[in-house]
Amino acid sequence: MKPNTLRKLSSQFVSMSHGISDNDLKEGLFRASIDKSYYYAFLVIREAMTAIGINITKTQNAHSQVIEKLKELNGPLAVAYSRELKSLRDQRNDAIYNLSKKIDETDANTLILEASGLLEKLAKNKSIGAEILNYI
Amino acid sequence: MISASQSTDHFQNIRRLSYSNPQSFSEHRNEKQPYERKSVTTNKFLIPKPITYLKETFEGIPNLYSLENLNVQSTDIIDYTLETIVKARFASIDPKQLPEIKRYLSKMETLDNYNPINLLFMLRKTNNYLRDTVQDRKGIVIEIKYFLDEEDDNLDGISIDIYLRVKDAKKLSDVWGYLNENIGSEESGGERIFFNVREKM
Repeated sequence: MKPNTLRKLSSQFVSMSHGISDNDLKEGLFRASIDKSYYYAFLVIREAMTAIGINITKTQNAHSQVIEKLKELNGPLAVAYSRELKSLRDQRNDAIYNLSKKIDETDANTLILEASGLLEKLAKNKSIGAEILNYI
Repeated sequence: MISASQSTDHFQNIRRLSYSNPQSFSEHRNEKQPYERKSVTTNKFLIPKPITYLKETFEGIPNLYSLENLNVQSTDIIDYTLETIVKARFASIDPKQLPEIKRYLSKMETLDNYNPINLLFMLRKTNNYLRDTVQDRKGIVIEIKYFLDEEDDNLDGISIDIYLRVKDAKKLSDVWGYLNENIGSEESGGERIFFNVREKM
């Protein structure tokens, strides 16, 4: 499976919610969409990093490693990339674990745009941009 | 992806968020008729006036320089910073979160030579940006939180959670991108502090 399948899934979940009247089920789809949006961004970056020779662990610490390694890329936005992926991770955790927090369609659509926006910016980075383009 | 221009066509009434920076918005606003300017400037805004003794532009403060000048212990600097943030209503902090936030700022100070007072400058700049770009300013809520990942224990940080009365995902993601790119990312350790921007329900 290619990472961009997750991008399609995240949009698909939002579309599916339009035909559902059960509010809990709708919110579940929005939460699932947010999860996929984060994983889309994370996996594209992880694959691109691996392709340019950055070694990323296969353990659960891969998330912090990818976020740390983003800071080391060349270019003035390197730190912003890291902060943005961390924010996506934080929002994904809220969607998955924080059941008391209300999540709606705007949240899901915002994450889709934020994940895509981050990858579009990374696609312009000299160090990793060419590889990012292979996965988005 | 929706372009900024397309988005603006559909959301004329909240087009301020489409400006790439506060300067471009200010320039545009100055071109407007007086009655239009009045409607912008007379809106009440919950964020109070900036603190008068902090006149520097935000570029990050070298750690040792400031600490020597202020002549206080580092723990005092953290307390002072957080207290000032809350008193100035730059952001709210849940009292239950305070110990973790203080502990984390102390960790940043040790690991990154981060000057905690930078957080105050960062929030002031954030408030100024939001004041200049967000139309419905009454709805703005800013909270500082400690972030600890449930699955990856190497991942933690401080999030600045901003809630806006905006339902448009494009506008929200634009503000998110601007803040994470432009505010507080230059000083050492600043990358541990990040922004989340959400719709206020």
